[in-house]
Parts: sequence; structure tokens; C-alpha cells
Amino acid sequence: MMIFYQAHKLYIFPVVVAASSLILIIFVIYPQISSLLSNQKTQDETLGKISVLEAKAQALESYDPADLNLRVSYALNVYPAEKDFMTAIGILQKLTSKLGFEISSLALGSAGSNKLTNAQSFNIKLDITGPEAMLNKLLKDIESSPRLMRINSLEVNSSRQTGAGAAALVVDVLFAQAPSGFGSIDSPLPELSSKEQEIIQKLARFSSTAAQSVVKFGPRGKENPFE
Amino acid sequence: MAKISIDLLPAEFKTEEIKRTRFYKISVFSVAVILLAVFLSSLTVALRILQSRRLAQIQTQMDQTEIRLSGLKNTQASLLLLKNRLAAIDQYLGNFSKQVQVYDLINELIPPGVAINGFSINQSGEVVFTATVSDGESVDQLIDNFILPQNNQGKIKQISMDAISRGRDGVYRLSLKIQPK
Repeated sequence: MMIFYQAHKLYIFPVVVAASSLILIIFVIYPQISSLLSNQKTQDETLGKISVLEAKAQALESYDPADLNLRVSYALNVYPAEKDFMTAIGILQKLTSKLGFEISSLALGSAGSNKLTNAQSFNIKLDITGPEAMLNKLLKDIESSPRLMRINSLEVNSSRQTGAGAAALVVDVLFAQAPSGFGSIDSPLPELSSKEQEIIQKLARFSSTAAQSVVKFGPRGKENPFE
Repeated sequence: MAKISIDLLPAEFKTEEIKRTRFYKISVFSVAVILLAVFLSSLTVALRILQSRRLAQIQTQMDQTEIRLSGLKNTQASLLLLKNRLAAIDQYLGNFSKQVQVYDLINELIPPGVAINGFSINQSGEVVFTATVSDGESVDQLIDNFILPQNNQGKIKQISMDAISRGRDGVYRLSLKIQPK
């Protein structure tokens, strides 16, 4: 063996060294460099993601939870997640009586979706009598009320002599279930635009007007009913 | 007298010397190559270890940020619900339905001499109304108001007269159907 090696060491030694180097390159250097490059890319992506998430966390922390809940309550008062028959009926009663109309009958319809707008709604059928001249204002007041409502259909019979009219309205009262998903950690943070801030202020005014119009009743009757 | 150089070494020694020199050069080169390979291997392994530590730190930072965001998920949910509602409210608030717009329009287009007896608007905004009109001029004015785009603001697509009659009292009774745009 040694004689063989001594005879051919000029070739054996460099071949062994070349083979060893090749093994090191193939099994150590190349895989390590590949891992370095891909991990560097992963590192950069992760750092980018962290900066985005940090910004999102800071933005979320800047919101006052109580103030945000108040704004959500304003929005849900106008466009709730469930059918609120009594609120809608109360508003319609208030609007009609304010303009001199009387409700002769009222019927609750089934839930469905508004054909034109695709929103969920239940309808209220009203038969009213009153000054026909105020009917236009009544319709606009209903659709501008602090509860989302749309006039579905209308029938009017008017009397020329008295100026009074009888109308049958079908009012769609809109509602919408809350969205099922509220976004993941990775989802982008929605921000409130200036237009949305204006809408919130409008809704806040609705709420304050509604609060002012609540009439408080004191105790009625005798202090001592046995006298 | 010129010196005479005589090489007394045997020829095989010379060959051996050449071989030895060649082997030495090859050995030096080979050792340099293997040392370089070992150095590069060590360097890449060391860099990988450093990189792994850095990645572990970054992952820890990521986990802490995610925990922080998990604590804020109620705020995010409220914000998303608010945006969802505002988008829909914006669509409706301040914008009247077709039915109200059509009723408003019809009220503007009815001339003074026309008395509406019955009026209905259906879900699609189509209008059917019956009216009594005292004179022919008012009938013409009524129809012009509904037909001419400069009068109807371009909001009426079609108008059809279902019935028209004139009684002995000279009063016109008519029934019109209007389809808005």
C-alpha cells in the first residue's frame, strides 16, 4: 500500500484533496450559503411584518375603548343587528303625529330583503289619515329618521274638498346581522375616513335628539290611596 | 580556461528531484485549497449559527407583538363593525328612495288645475294615478310636464294613459301610468 502510494502520490494526494474539497463544498458550503440567503429573505420579511403589526397595535391602542363603543352604539341604534319592532313603531308614531297624521291601522310584515338595496328588512304597513299637503314631508322625514327606513310602496286617496287624504304606506325597516368575521391579526387595520367621522357626528346628533325627546313621567295619583 | 561543469549525480536522482519538486508544489496548492475549503465551511456554519440566533430573537419579538394585538382584538372588532355599519348608513342617509323621489317629482309636475284622486307607487317606483281635470289646457299641460325632458328633469322613462274620459260636466277623468328612470 505504501509502495503504491509512494509510487503514485503525485496523483493520489491532489485527487484526495480535490475530493475532500468537493465534499465540503457540496455538503457544507453550498447548503449553508443557500440557507443563509433564504433565511435572510425570511428575516427581512418578518422584520417588515413586525413593523406593520407594531404600527397596527399602536393605532389600535390610540382608540379609547369607551368612545369607540359609544360610536358603535350610535351606528347600531340607526342600523341594528336585529329586528326592533317597538323602536321602529315608536319612531313612525312620533313622525306621523308631529305632522298631524293619525295611524288608523298598523301591521307588521315579514322579514326579507329590500329588492333594490339587498339589505335585510322587515316591513311595517301603515294606514294613515291626515293633511295630504304634509305627506311629502312625512315620507322624507321617515327616510331621514334616526333609524334606517325606506318607503317600499305608497297608495294615496285624497279628498278635494277637505285636503285630507288617506294613505297606505309600506315601510321597510332595515337591519343587518353583525359580520361573522372580525379580521385576523394580519388583516390590515381599517381607519375611519373624514367622511365616516362626519357620519358619526350626525349619528351622535340623532342620539342626543332622541334622548332630549324622551318624556319623563313622574308618579301619578294620590300620595295616600287610602284617604 | 573555462570551467567545466560535470554533473556527477546519476540521472535517476535528477528525475527524483524533479518529481519531489513537483509534488511539493502540488502539495502546497492542495493544502491551500483544503484549508480554504475548511475556512469557508467554518465561516458559513458560524454565520448560520449567528443568523439562527437573530431569527430566534425576531421570532420572539413577533410573538410579543402578536400577543399585544390579541389583547386588542375587541377594539379591532368594534372598529370593523363600525366601518361595516357606516358604509351601509352612508348609502342610505341623505339619499331618498326612488319612491320618495318619484312622489316628490310627481307633486312638482302636477299643474294647478289637476286634482289627484288616487295615487300609488309600487316597489319598483312605478306610479299609477287617477285625476280629474277641469279643462283641456290643464290636460295638455299635465301631459307636457310628464313628457318633455326639460320639464320632467329627464327622470321619466315612459308615460302611458290607461284611460281618459270626459263627462257631461266637462271634467276630464284620466288614469296615467308612469315609469321612472
